[in-house]
Amino acid sequence: MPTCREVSRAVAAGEVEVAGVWRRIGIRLHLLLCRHCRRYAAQLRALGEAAGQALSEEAEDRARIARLCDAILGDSPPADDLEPEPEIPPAQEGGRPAPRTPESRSGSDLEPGCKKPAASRTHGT
Amino acid sequence: MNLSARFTTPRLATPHEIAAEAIRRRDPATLRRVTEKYLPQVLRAARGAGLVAAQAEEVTQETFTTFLEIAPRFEGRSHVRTFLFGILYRKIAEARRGRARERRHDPIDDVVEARFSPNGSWSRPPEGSDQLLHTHELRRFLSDCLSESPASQRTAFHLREVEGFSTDEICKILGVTATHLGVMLYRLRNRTRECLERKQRGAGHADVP
Repeated sequence: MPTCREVSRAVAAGEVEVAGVWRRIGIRLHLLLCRHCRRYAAQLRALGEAAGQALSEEAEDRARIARLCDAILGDSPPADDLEPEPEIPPAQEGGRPAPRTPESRSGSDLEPGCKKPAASRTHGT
Repeated sequence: MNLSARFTTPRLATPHEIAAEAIRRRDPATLRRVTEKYLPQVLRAARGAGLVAAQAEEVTQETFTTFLEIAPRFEGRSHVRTFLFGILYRKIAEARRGRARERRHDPIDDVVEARFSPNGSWSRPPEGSDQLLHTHELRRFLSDCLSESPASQRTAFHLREVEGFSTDEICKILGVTATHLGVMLYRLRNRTRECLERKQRGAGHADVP
């Protein structure tokens, strides 16, 4: 069975998932029996989860994202001068085909992260 | 003489190849979609690498500007996301003026080693609870503790823990081997854990500034 040093190393370096079968079994068995290594592994997991949560909350700042999108795409010619819109219309979630007016098509197939905060989406409405 | 061309039968292009081709010829709608789809992730990763908000925005903007410029060079062998994050990582390294080379020796290696006895068992086992700290304390100290690590390690950690990238993808983005990536993650996780453990020890007695 691997030692605590080996187990903690494998856990921190993310080697457990890619290890061979026997090594993985050895590590699992060690973790089952050793509360120190178990705590170590749990703490690293908590660390990863906390980092993920903190950052995904920050990235929710839609206004900042929209501003950046504008800055990057702003100097590309407006959509009307470009090639036709993608021929395949975006899936209609509501089942109601939106009329393809200039207003409606500008944002129709954007991914959620980059949509401009339209008037109806701003806080407090 | 192109052997592969002689031996492959004609086939339909996959959606991935069609997209790669559209990116190469800088199809405006495609470039726009890529930007809109991945910008939030790229911005988040720049923050995750330890850049302050303004710097992160700047680097994100540079990343996409470069992407729009070098799109014709996109070969489509990897996902466009991997391509983008590779650009981002080089921009971060430039912003930091830190070359990405991992140091052969990192003081954290000694700190970790000192917690074990010669036979490989813990001589100073991890302290605290499984969660290390209460959620709000963890939040409070985490960014401090993460900032003790270099940007390359933080990027690796972010791509793994926040974006959930595969080992393969992270290695391509950072230009490192899997072993090397393991060392980076090992160092960052240990350094951050040690730091949080110190904070927790301090928090038990008095308010830590």
